[in-house]
Amino acid sequence: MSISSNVIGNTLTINMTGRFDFHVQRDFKEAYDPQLGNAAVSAIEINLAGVEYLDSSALGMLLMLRERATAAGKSLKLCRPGAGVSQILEIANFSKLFTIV
Amino acid sequence: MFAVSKQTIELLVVDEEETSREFLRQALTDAGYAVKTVADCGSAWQMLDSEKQHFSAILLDRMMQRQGGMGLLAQLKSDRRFADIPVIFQTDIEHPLEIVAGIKAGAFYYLVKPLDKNVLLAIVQSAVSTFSLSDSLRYVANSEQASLHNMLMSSEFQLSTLLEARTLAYTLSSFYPQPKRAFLGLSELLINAVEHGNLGLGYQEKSRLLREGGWEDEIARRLALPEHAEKKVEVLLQHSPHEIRLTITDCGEGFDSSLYMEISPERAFDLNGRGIAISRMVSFDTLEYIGKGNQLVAVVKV
Repeated sequence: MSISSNVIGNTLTINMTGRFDFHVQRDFKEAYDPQLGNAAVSAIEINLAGVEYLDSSALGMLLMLRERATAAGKSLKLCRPGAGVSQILEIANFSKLFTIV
Repeated sequence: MFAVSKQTIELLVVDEEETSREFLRQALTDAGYAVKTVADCGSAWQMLDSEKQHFSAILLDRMMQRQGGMGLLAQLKSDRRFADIPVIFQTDIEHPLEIVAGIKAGAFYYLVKPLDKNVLLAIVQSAVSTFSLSDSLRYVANSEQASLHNMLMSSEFQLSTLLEARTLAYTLSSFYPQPKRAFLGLSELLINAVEHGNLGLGYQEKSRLLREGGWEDEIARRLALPEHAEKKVEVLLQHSPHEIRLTITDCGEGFDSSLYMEISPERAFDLNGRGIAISRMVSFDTLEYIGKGNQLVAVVKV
Protein backbone atom coordinates (compact mmCIF):
# COMPACT_ATOMS: atom_id res chain seq x y z
CA MET A 1 0.00 0.00 0.00
CA SER A 2 1.38 3.35 -0.84
CA ILE A 3 -0.19 6.47 0.57
CA SER A 4 0.53 9.95 -0.62
CA SER A 5 -1.21 13.11 0.38
CA ASN A 6 -1.36 16.67 -0.74
CA VAL A 7 -3.14 19.83 0.27
CA ILE A 8 -4.52 21.91 -2.58
CA GLY A 9 -6.48 24.95 -1.51
CA ASN A 10 -8.62 23.92 1.42
CA THR A 11 -8.66 20.21 0.59
CA LEU A 12 -6.45 17.45 1.92
CA THR A 13 -6.41 14.58 -0.60
CA ILE A 14 -5.08 11.23 0.53
CA ASN A 15 -4.28 8.92 -2.39
CA MET A 16 -4.15 5.24 -1.63
CA THR A 17 -2.99 2.47 -3.91
CA GLY A 18 -2.75 -1.24 -3.27
CA ARG A 19 -4.18 -3.26 -0.40
CA PHE A 20 -6.01 -1.43 2.35
CA ASP A 21 -5.66 -3.83 5.27
CA PHE A 22 -4.46 -3.93 8.86
CA HIS A 23 -0.85 -3.25 7.84
CA VAL A 24 -1.82 0.24 6.79
CA GLN A 25 -3.00 1.56 10.15
CA ARG A 26 -0.04 3.63 11.14
CA ASP A 27 0.63 5.12 7.70
CA PHE A 28 -3.02 5.97 7.19
CA LYS A 29 -3.23 7.82 10.48
CA GLU A 30 -0.02 9.68 9.77
CA ALA A 31 -1.44 10.84 6.45
CA TYR A 32 -4.27 12.80 8.06
CA ASP A 33 -3.33 13.45 11.68
CA PRO A 34 -1.01 16.39 11.06
CA GLN A 35 -3.66 18.20 9.02
CA LEU A 36 -6.49 17.88 11.53
CA GLY A 37 -5.19 20.90 13.39
CA ASN A 38 -4.69 22.92 10.20
CA ALA A 39 -7.41 25.56 10.05
CA ALA A 40 -6.79 26.16 6.36
CA VAL A 41 -7.97 22.63 5.55
CA SER A 42 -11.74 22.27 5.61
CA ALA A 43 -12.22 19.18 3.44
CA ILE A 44 -10.64 15.74 3.41
CA GLU A 45 -10.91 13.42 0.41
CA ILE A 46 -9.76 9.83 0.31
CA ASN A 47 -8.96 8.73 -3.23
CA LEU A 48 -9.71 5.00 -3.35
CA ALA A 49 -9.27 4.59 -7.11
CA GLY A 50 -6.06 2.60 -6.72
CA VAL A 51 -7.29 0.43 -3.87
CA GLU A 52 -7.48 -3.17 -5.04
CA TYR A 53 -8.61 -4.69 -1.80
CA LEU A 54 -10.23 -3.50 1.41
CA ASP A 55 -10.93 -5.54 4.51
CA SER A 56 -12.92 -4.96 7.68
CA SER A 57 -10.00 -3.34 9.48
CA ALA A 58 -9.91 -0.70 6.75
CA LEU A 59 -13.57 0.02 7.53
CA GLY A 60 -12.60 0.68 11.13
CA MET A 61 -9.83 3.02 10.01
CA LEU A 62 -12.24 4.98 7.84
CA LEU A 63 -14.67 5.28 10.73
CA MET A 64 -11.97 6.56 13.01
CA LEU A 65 -11.03 9.18 10.43
CA ARG A 66 -14.69 10.13 10.17
CA GLU A 67 -14.88 10.69 13.94
CA ARG A 68 -11.71 12.74 13.99
CA ALA A 69 -12.62 14.76 10.90
CA THR A 70 -16.04 15.58 12.33
CA ALA A 71 -14.52 16.60 15.64
CA ALA A 72 -12.10 18.87 13.78
CA GLY A 73 -14.89 20.41 11.74
CA LYS A 74 -13.74 19.04 8.41
CA SER A 75 -15.85 17.38 5.73
CA LEU A 76 -14.93 13.92 4.47
CA LYS A 77 -15.49 12.19 1.15
CA LEU A 78 -14.57 8.75 -0.12
CA CYS A 79 -13.74 8.98 -3.79
CA ARG A 80 -13.73 6.66 -6.77
CA PRO A 81 -13.96 3.23 -5.14
CA GLY A 82 -13.59 0.36 -7.62
CA ALA A 83 -16.15 -2.41 -7.94
CA GLY A 84 -14.81 -4.73 -5.24
CA VAL A 85 -14.28 -1.92 -2.75
CA SER A 86 -17.74 -0.49 -3.48
CA GLN A 87 -19.28 -3.86 -2.76
CA ILE A 88 -17.74 -3.98 0.69
CA LEU A 89 -18.64 -0.38 1.48
CA GLU A 90 -22.20 -1.16 0.43
CA ILE A 91 -22.44 -4.30 2.57
CA ALA A 92 -21.16 -2.34 5.55
CA ASN A 93 -23.81 0.34 4.96
CA PHE A 94 -21.13 2.94 4.60
CA SER A 95 -23.16 4.90 2.08
CA LYS A 96 -25.30 5.88 5.05
CA LEU A 97 -22.30 7.14 6.99
CA PHE A 98 -20.05 8.59 4.31
CA THR A 99 -20.31 10.73 1.22
CA ILE A 100 -19.06 8.41 -1.49
CA VAL A 101 -18.44 9.91 -4.91
CA MET B 1 5.73 -11.06 2.31
CA PHE B 2 4.96 -10.92 -1.41
CA ALA B 3 8.37 -9.54 -2.29
CA VAL B 4 9.49 -10.58 -5.72
CA SER B 5 13.11 -10.40 -6.80
CA LYS B 6 13.45 -7.10 -8.62
CA GLN B 7 15.65 -8.63 -11.29
CA THR B 8 12.71 -10.53 -12.65
CA ILE B 9 10.24 -7.66 -12.83
CA GLU B 10 9.70 -6.30 -16.32
CA LEU B 11 8.10 -2.98 -17.08
CA LEU B 12 6.91 -1.53 -20.37
CA VAL B 13 7.17 2.21 -20.99
CA VAL B 14 5.12 3.72 -23.79
CA ASP B 15 6.07 7.34 -24.45
CA GLU B 16 6.37 9.52 -27.53
CA GLU B 17 9.11 11.74 -26.17
CA GLU B 18 12.62 10.39 -26.13
CA THR B 19 13.72 12.43 -23.07
CA SER B 20 10.76 11.04 -21.17
CA ARG B 21 11.54 7.46 -22.19
CA GLU B 22 15.13 7.92 -21.10
CA PHE B 23 14.21 9.47 -17.77
CA LEU B 24 11.90 6.58 -17.01
CA ARG B 25 14.33 3.95 -18.24
CA GLN B 26 17.08 5.39 -16.05
CA ALA B 27 15.00 5.83 -12.92
CA LEU B 28 13.39 2.42 -13.15
CA THR B 29 16.55 0.54 -14.13
CA ASP B 30 18.40 2.15 -11.22
CA ALA B 31 15.67 0.83 -8.96
CA GLY B 32 16.29 -2.69 -10.25
CA TYR B 33 13.57 -3.22 -12.83
CA ALA B 34 14.07 -4.54 -16.37
CA VAL B 35 12.63 -1.87 -18.67
CA LYS B 36 11.48 -1.98 -22.28
CA THR B 37 10.53 1.27 -23.97
CA VAL B 38 8.48 1.91 -27.11
CA ALA B 39 7.39 5.13 -28.77
CA ASP B 40 3.85 4.32 -29.84
CA CYS B 41 0.84 2.17 -29.03
CA GLY B 42 1.18 -0.06 -32.09
CA SER B 43 4.67 -1.15 -31.03
CA ALA B 44 3.45 -1.60 -27.48
CA TRP B 45 0.73 -3.96 -28.58
CA GLN B 46 3.13 -5.91 -30.82
CA MET B 47 5.55 -6.36 -27.96
CA LEU B 48 2.82 -7.55 -25.58
CA ASP B 49 1.23 -9.80 -28.18
CA SER B 50 4.52 -11.54 -28.94
CA GLU B 51 4.50 -12.67 -25.28
CA LYS B 52 8.28 -12.76 -25.21
CA GLN B 53 8.22 -10.63 -22.06
CA HIS B 54 6.05 -10.92 -19.04
CA PHE B 55 5.33 -7.37 -17.93
CA SER B 56 4.25 -6.61 -14.39
CA ALA B 57 3.20 -3.04 -15.14
CA ILE B 58 2.82 -0.65 -18.07
CA LEU B 59 3.55 3.07 -17.97
CA LEU B 60 1.55 4.91 -20.58
CA ASP B 61 2.15 8.53 -21.42
CA ARG B 62 -0.59 11.10 -21.75
CA MET B 63 0.34 12.02 -25.29
CA MET B 64 -0.55 8.46 -26.00
CA GLN B 65 -4.00 9.15 -24.70
CA ARG B 66 -4.78 11.45 -27.55
CA GLN B 67 -3.19 9.10 -30.02
CA GLY B 68 -4.38 5.67 -29.08
CA GLY B 69 -3.50 5.40 -25.38
CA MET B 70 -7.11 5.02 -24.29
CA GLY B 71 -7.60 2.55 -27.14
CA LEU B 72 -4.60 0.55 -25.95
CA LEU B 73 -5.96 0.57 -22.39
CA ALA B 74 -9.32 -0.74 -23.59
CA GLN B 75 -7.61 -3.42 -25.67
CA LEU B 76 -5.52 -4.54 -22.69
CA LYS B 77 -8.48 -4.70 -20.35
CA SER B 78 -10.49 -6.83 -22.75
CA ASP B 79 -7.68 -9.34 -23.35
CA ARG B 80 -7.47 -12.00 -20.66
CA ARG B 81 -3.73 -12.26 -21.10
CA PHE B 82 -3.17 -8.64 -20.14
CA ALA B 83 -6.29 -7.48 -18.31
CA ASP B 84 -4.72 -7.72 -14.89
CA ILE B 85 -1.50 -5.88 -15.73
CA PRO B 86 -1.68 -2.54 -13.93
CA VAL B 87 -1.48 0.42 -16.28
CA ILE B 88 -0.08 3.62 -14.83
CA PHE B 89 -0.73 6.55 -16.99
CA GLN B 90 1.10 9.83 -16.89
CA THR B 91 -1.00 12.86 -17.29
CA ASP B 92 -1.27 16.53 -16.90
CA ILE B 93 -3.03 18.09 -13.96
CA GLU B 94 -4.59 20.55 -16.43
CA HIS B 95 -6.67 17.75 -17.83
CA PRO B 96 -8.69 16.32 -14.95
CA LEU B 97 -11.21 14.82 -17.37
CA GLU B 98 -8.43 12.68 -18.81
CA ILE B 99 -7.62 11.43 -15.34
CA VAL B 100 -11.23 10.49 -14.67
CA ALA B 101 -11.62 8.85 -18.07
CA GLY B 102 -8.42 6.86 -17.58
CA ILE B 103 -9.35 5.59 -14.15
CA LYS B 104 -12.85 4.66 -15.27
CA ALA B 105 -11.31 2.74 -18.18
CA GLY B 106 -9.24 0.73 -15.75
CA ALA B 107 -5.94 2.55 -15.29
CA PHE B 108 -4.35 1.55 -12.01
CA TYR B 109 -3.15 5.02 -11.12
CA TYR B 110 -1.90 8.25 -12.60
CA LEU B 111 1.34 10.15 -12.30
CA VAL B 112 1.48 13.85 -12.88
CA LYS B 113 4.20 15.41 -14.98
CA PRO B 114 6.78 16.62 -14.14
CA LEU B 115 7.44 13.27 -12.52
CA ASP B 116 8.75 13.04 -9.00
CA LYS B 117 11.11 10.08 -8.94
CA ASN B 118 10.08 8.95 -5.44
CA VAL B 119 6.40 9.03 -6.31
CA LEU B 120 7.14 7.18 -9.55
CA LEU B 121 8.97 4.38 -7.74
CA ALA B 122 6.37 4.12 -4.98
CA ILE B 123 3.51 3.84 -7.46
CA VAL B 124 5.37 1.31 -9.60
CA GLN B 125 6.21 -0.78 -6.57
CA SER B 126 2.61 -0.74 -5.42
CA ALA B 127 1.37 -1.66 -8.90
CA VAL B 128 3.84 -4.49 -9.22
CA SER B 129 3.10 -6.01 -5.82
CA THR B 130 -0.63 -5.85 -6.49
CA PHE B 131 -0.04 -7.56 -9.81
CA SER B 132 2.09 -10.36 -8.44
CA LEU B 133 -0.77 -11.34 -6.15
CA SER B 134 -3.45 -11.20 -8.82
CA ASP B 135 -1.17 -12.73 -11.44
CA SER B 136 -0.59 -15.84 -9.36
CA LEU B 137 -4.25 -16.06 -8.47
CA ARG B 138 -5.26 -15.63 -12.10
CA TYR B 139 -2.79 -18.23 -13.28
CA VAL B 140 -4.04 -20.78 -10.81
CA ALA B 141 -7.64 -20.02 -11.60
CA ASN B 142 -7.28 -20.15 -15.38
CA SER B 143 -4.47 -22.53 -15.99
CA GLU B 144 -4.87 -25.70 -17.96
CA GLN B 145 -3.93 -28.08 -15.23
CA ALA B 146 -5.82 -30.90 -13.67
CA SER B 147 -8.12 -29.35 -11.14
CA LEU B 148 -6.79 -29.35 -7.59
CA HIS B 149 -10.40 -29.58 -6.67
CA ASN B 150 -10.56 -33.10 -8.09
CA MET B 151 -7.29 -34.30 -6.64
CA LEU B 152 -7.23 -32.80 -3.20
CA MET B 153 -9.46 -34.44 -0.67
CA SER B 154 -8.48 -32.56 2.41
CA SER B 155 -5.67 -30.45 3.75
CA GLU B 156 -4.84 -29.51 7.29
CA PHE B 157 -2.86 -26.63 8.67
CA GLN B 158 -1.87 -25.12 11.99
CA LEU B 159 -0.93 -21.53 12.62
CA SER B 160 -0.32 -19.13 15.46
CA THR B 161 0.65 -15.68 14.14
CA LEU B 162 -1.05 -12.95 12.12
CA LEU B 163 1.55 -13.33 9.40
CA GLU B 164 0.80 -17.04 9.16
CA ALA B 165 -2.92 -16.25 9.02
CA ARG B 166 -2.42 -13.96 6.06
CA THR B 167 -0.04 -16.34 4.28
CA LEU B 168 -2.41 -19.25 4.72
CA ALA B 169 -5.35 -17.15 3.51
CA TYR B 170 -3.44 -16.50 0.32
CA THR B 171 -2.51 -20.18 -0.14
CA LEU B 172 -6.00 -21.49 0.58
CA SER B 173 -7.65 -18.96 -1.72
CA SER B 174 -5.96 -20.66 -4.66
CA PHE B 175 -8.04 -23.78 -3.98
CA TYR B 176 -11.29 -21.91 -4.47
CA PRO B 177 -13.02 -21.31 -7.80
CA GLN B 178 -12.90 -17.55 -7.17
CA PRO B 179 -9.68 -16.95 -5.26
CA LYS B 180 -9.98 -13.17 -4.88
CA ARG B 181 -13.49 -13.52 -3.45
CA ALA B 182 -12.36 -16.23 -1.04
CA PHE B 183 -9.25 -14.41 0.15
CA LEU B 184 -11.13 -11.68 2.01
CA GLY B 185 -13.18 -14.10 4.13
CA LEU B 186 -10.27 -16.46 4.73
CA SER B 187 -8.12 -13.60 5.92
CA GLU B 188 -10.82 -12.15 8.21
CA LEU B 189 -11.67 -15.49 9.83
CA LEU B 190 -8.10 -16.68 10.30
CA ILE B 191 -7.08 -13.37 11.87
CA ASN B 192 -10.12 -13.54 14.15
CA ALA B 193 -9.11 -17.03 15.25
CA VAL B 194 -5.67 -15.73 16.26
CA GLU B 195 -6.54 -12.42 17.93
CA HIS B 196 -9.93 -13.18 19.49
CA GLY B 197 -9.72 -16.96 19.74
CA ASN B 198 -6.22 -17.87 20.79
CA LEU B 199 -5.06 -14.59 22.25
CA GLY B 200 -8.33 -13.78 24.01
CA LEU B 201 -8.58 -10.19 22.83
CA GLY B 202 -12.12 -9.07 23.55
CA TYR B 203 -14.37 -6.88 21.45
CA GLN B 204 -14.24 -3.81 23.68
CA GLU B 205 -10.56 -4.18 24.25
CA LYS B 206 -9.93 -4.26 20.53
CA SER B 207 -12.03 -1.13 20.02
CA ARG B 208 -10.00 0.64 22.66
CA LEU B 209 -6.68 -0.43 21.14
CA LEU B 210 -7.78 0.67 17.69
CA ARG B 211 -8.88 4.02 19.01
CA GLU B 212 -5.85 4.67 21.18
CA GLY B 213 -3.32 2.94 18.98
CA GLY B 214 -1.26 -0.10 19.97
CA TRP B 215 -3.33 -2.95 18.54
CA GLU B 216 -0.41 -4.51 16.69
CA ASP B 217 1.89 -4.15 19.69
CA GLU B 218 -0.68 -5.77 21.94
CA ILE B 219 -1.04 -8.73 19.58
CA ALA B 220 2.75 -9.13 19.52
CA ARG B 221 2.88 -8.87 23.30
CA ARG B 222 0.24 -11.55 23.79
CA LEU B 223 1.84 -13.88 21.27
CA ALA B 224 5.03 -13.77 23.32
CA LEU B 225 3.31 -14.75 26.58
CA PRO B 226 4.03 -18.29 27.83
CA GLU B 227 0.31 -19.03 28.27
CA HIS B 228 -0.25 -18.58 24.53
CA ALA B 229 3.01 -20.07 23.31
CA GLU B 230 1.65 -23.51 22.42
CA LYS B 231 -1.68 -22.40 21.04
CA LYS B 232 -2.49 -23.18 17.45
CA VAL B 233 -5.40 -22.42 15.20
CA GLU B 234 -6.39 -25.64 13.40
CA VAL B 235 -7.53 -25.27 9.83
CA LEU B 236 -9.13 -28.04 7.80
CA LEU B 237 -10.06 -27.66 4.15
CA GLN B 238 -12.19 -30.43 2.70
CA HIS B 239 -13.14 -30.92 -0.91
CA SER B 240 -16.08 -32.89 -2.13
CA PRO B 241 -17.69 -32.82 -5.59
CA HIS B 242 -20.17 -30.14 -4.62
CA GLU B 243 -18.49 -28.00 -2.05
CA ILE B 244 -15.35 -26.75 -0.40
CA ARG B 245 -15.71 -26.85 3.35
CA LEU B 246 -13.44 -24.88 5.66
CA THR B 247 -13.28 -25.63 9.38
CA ILE B 248 -11.34 -23.30 11.67
CA THR B 249 -10.87 -24.18 15.33
CA ASP B 250 -9.20 -21.93 17.89
CA CYS B 251 -8.22 -22.43 21.54
CA GLY B 252 -10.51 -19.77 22.89
CA GLU B 253 -13.57 -19.84 25.09
CA GLY B 254 -15.92 -19.13 22.22
CA PHE B 255 -18.46 -16.33 21.90
CA ASP B 256 -22.04 -15.58 20.89
CA SER B 257 -21.64 -15.50 17.13
CA SER B 258 -25.28 -14.63 16.46
CA LEU B 259 -24.52 -11.00 17.29
CA TYR B 260 -21.99 -10.71 14.48
CA MET B 261 -23.58 -12.45 11.51
CA GLU B 262 -25.14 -9.29 10.20
CA ILE B 263 -23.97 -5.72 10.00
CA SER B 264 -25.53 -4.29 13.11
CA PRO B 265 -27.06 -0.80 13.17
CA GLU B 266 -26.34 -0.60 16.90
CA ARG B 267 -22.66 -0.99 16.18
CA ALA B 268 -22.66 1.23 13.11
CA PHE B 269 -19.99 3.47 14.58
CA ASP B 270 -17.86 0.78 16.21
CA LEU B 271 -14.37 0.51 14.80
CA ASN B 272 -14.50 -3.30 14.71
CA GLY B 273 -17.06 -6.05 14.53
CA ARG B 274 -17.76 -6.36 10.81
CA GLY B 275 -15.32 -9.07 9.73
CA ILE B 276 -17.64 -12.02 10.20
CA ALA B 277 -20.62 -10.42 8.46
CA ILE B 278 -18.48 -9.36 5.53
CA SER B 279 -16.91 -12.81 5.22
CA ARG B 280 -20.33 -14.37 5.27
CA MET B 281 -21.77 -12.04 2.67
CA VAL B 282 -18.84 -11.74 0.29
CA SER B 283 -16.77 -14.91 0.47
CA PHE B 284 -18.84 -17.88 1.50
CA ASP B 285 -22.19 -19.43 0.74
CA THR B 286 -22.72 -20.46 4.34
CA LEU B 287 -20.90 -19.66 7.56
CA GLU B 288 -21.76 -20.97 10.99
CA TYR B 289 -20.15 -21.26 14.39
CA ILE B 290 -20.29 -24.59 16.18
CA GLY B 291 -20.51 -25.45 19.86
CA LYS B 292 -19.37 -22.71 22.21
CA GLY B 293 -18.19 -20.67 19.24
CA ASN B 294 -14.53 -21.52 18.97
CA GLN B 295 -15.09 -23.46 15.78
CA LEU B 296 -16.56 -22.34 12.48
CA VAL B 297 -17.56 -24.03 9.27
CA ALA B 298 -17.59 -22.00 6.06
CA VAL B 299 -18.78 -23.51 2.80
CA VAL B 300 -18.48 -22.53 -0.84
CA LYS B 301 -20.62 -24.56 -3.21
CA VAL B 302 -19.01 -25.53 -6.47
